[in-house]
Amino acid sequence: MNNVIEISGLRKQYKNFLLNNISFSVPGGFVCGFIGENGAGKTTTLKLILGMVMKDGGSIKLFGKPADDVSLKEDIGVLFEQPYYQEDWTPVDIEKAMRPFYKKWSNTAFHQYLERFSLDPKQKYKTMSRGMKMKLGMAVTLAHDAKLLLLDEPTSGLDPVGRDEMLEILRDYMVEEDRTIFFSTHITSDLEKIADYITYIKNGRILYSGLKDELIEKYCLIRGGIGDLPQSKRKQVLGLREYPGGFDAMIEMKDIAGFPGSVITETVSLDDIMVRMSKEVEE
Amino acid sequence: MNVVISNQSGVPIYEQIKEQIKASILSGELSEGTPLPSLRQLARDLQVSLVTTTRAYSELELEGFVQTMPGKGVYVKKIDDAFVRDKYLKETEEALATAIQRGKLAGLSIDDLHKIMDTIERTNK
Amino acid sequence: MIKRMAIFDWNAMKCFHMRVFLLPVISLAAGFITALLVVPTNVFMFLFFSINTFAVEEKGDLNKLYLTLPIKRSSVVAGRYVLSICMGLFGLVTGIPLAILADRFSLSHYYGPLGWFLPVVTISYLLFSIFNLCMFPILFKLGYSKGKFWGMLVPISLFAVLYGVWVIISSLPGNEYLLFNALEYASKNMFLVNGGIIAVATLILLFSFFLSKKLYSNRDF
Repeated sequence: MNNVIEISGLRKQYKNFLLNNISFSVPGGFVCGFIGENGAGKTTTLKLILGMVMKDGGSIKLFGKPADDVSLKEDIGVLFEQPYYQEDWTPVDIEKAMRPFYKKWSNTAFHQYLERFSLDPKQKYKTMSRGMKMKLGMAVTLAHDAKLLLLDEPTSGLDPVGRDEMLEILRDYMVEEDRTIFFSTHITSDLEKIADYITYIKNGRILYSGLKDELIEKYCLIRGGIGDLPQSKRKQVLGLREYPGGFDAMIEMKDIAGFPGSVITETVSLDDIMVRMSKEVEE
Repeated sequence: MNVVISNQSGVPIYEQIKEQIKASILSGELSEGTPLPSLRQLARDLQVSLVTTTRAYSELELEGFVQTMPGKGVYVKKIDDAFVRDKYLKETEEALATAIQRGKLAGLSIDDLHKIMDTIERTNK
Repeated sequence: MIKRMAIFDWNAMKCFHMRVFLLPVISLAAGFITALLVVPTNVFMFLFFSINTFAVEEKGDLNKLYLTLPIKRSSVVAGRYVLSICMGLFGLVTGIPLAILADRFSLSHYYGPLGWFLPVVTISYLLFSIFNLCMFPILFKLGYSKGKFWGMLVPISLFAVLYGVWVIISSLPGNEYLLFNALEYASKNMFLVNGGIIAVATLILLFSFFLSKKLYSNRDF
C-alpha cells in the first residue's frame, strides 16, 4: 500500500498563525479524515498541497512524486467549500472549459453524473443551491476519473439531506480500487463511519495521524458522582468537566484503573476527542 | 446473507459483522464456496469504513471460516462439525477457567460453582 | 496549454462578450475628430476589454480553479497575454476598415499621404505594449480590485507626462513642424522607423510578460 500524500516538515508562517513543521501520510485506497477546529490549519494544509500557497519549508509528495509537478493534477479532484466556477456558466460551459485540460475527460461520464445528480445542464451556476454546486463539483472530478479527492469541508452548509447525498456519492466513489479521499472537516460525525484513517490538527500541529479505530479505542469517556474522582487521577484526565452532581472527562484507556466501581465508561466519538482536547490545551 | 448492524449496541461494528457472518455460515445459510461481497461493496452497503470490513473478514479468515482467493475474492470454507465442536469446546474451556478464577475471588468453592451452573440451566429451560 | 488557457479566459468572460460590439462604435465616434484616431482607439478599447479577464477571475475566484487544474502558473500568465495580444491585433485589423469608413464622415477629412498611416498603426502597437507593461504586472500581482487603481493610475500618469513632454518640446522655438517632420521622416524610412517601433514594442511586451510571470508565481491565494 503506497502513500498518495506524504507531508514532511511542512511549514508556513502567516501573520497570526504558524503551521509548525507538520508531517503525516495518507495511504492509498482509503478514506482519510482531516479534523481540527476552525483555524487549526486544515485549509492552509490543503492549499499548500495544491500549490495555492507557497510553503516556507518542508516537502510534499503526491503519488510518490514532488507535488509541484502539475501533471499530477490530472488524477486529482478538488472540492473546496464551493467549487470555483464562473457564476454565469452552465454545466455545459464548465464542461467546455475544463475538458481541454484533462486527458482522461469523458463527456459521457460527465453527462451521466449530471443526470444521476439531477442537475440541469443549462442552469447557471449562480442559481444553483449549495448542494447542487457540490454535486456539480463531484460530477467534474468523476468525469476525469480522479484517483485522489481532496475535499475541504464538503458537507458544511448542507442540510441533513444534502449531507447524506454527498456522503452517499463518496461511498460510491470508494467502491473502485485505488481511489483515495482526503476529507477535511470540522463536522466529525460525517467521518465517524466512513473514515479509515484520521489526521488531527490543532493550532498548526499534528496531534494524531493513524487508524481511526486506534484513536477511538485509545480513549474513553468516564462519568461519575462527586468524590468518584480520585486526586491521583486529576492530572490524567483530559477535558474535565465538574458540576454540582459529579464530573465527566476523557481519559486514556491505559490510565483507566483506579476509579471506584460506580463510575460509568463510554466509547468516545471523534467529537468528544476534539472537544476534550481543546478544553485541555486551553491551559 | 443478512448483516444488520446496530450503532447503539456498544459492540464494535467489525465484531458485529463477523459474528453475523459466522452465524450464517454455521447455520448453513451460507454454504461452502459461497462468495462473500467484496470488502468495498460491503463497506458501501453497510455505510462503514473499509478498515472495518477488512478487519471483520481478516478475523473470519483467522478463525477458519472463510478463505481469500487472490484476485477472486473471499469464499466460505467447508465447515465440518468436528472443527466447530473443537472451536466451541476451546471457548467453553476458557470461559469456565475465567469463571473459576472469579469464583475464587468471591470465595466460592467448586461445589458452589456447580450449584450455580445448575441454577442457570434450570432458569434457561 | 497556453492556447487552452487563452480560450478558457475568453469563455470566462462570457458576460462581457456582448460588449465587443460596443467597441467599434466608440472607435467610430473617435473617428469624427479624425480618421487617424480610429485605429489607436480601437486597439486601446480591445486592450481594456482584455483587462476584464482579471475582473472575472477575481469575482469567480478562478485563480484557485486554475491551481486545481494540471497547468503551470506561467501558462496562466502566458494565456492571458496571448488573449490580450490577439485582441489588440483584432482591434488593429478591424480598425483599418473602420478608419476608412470614419474618414467618410469625419470632421477633419484626412488629406495626408497614405504613408503616414503606417506609423499610426505601429505607434498604436507601441502604446499598447507600454500600457500593457503598466497594467498587467500590477494586475497579476495584486488582482483586480487592489490592482485596478494603480493599474489605471500608472499608465494615465505616464501618458499625461509623455503628452506634457511632447507639448513642451513641440512648443520650443524651431519645433513647430516637429510632428510633420517626424511623419515625413517616418514615411521616407518606412522600414527603419516602423521596424524599430515594432521591435521596441515587442521587447516591452516580452519584458512585461516575464515580469508578470515572476510576480504571479509567488502569489498566495
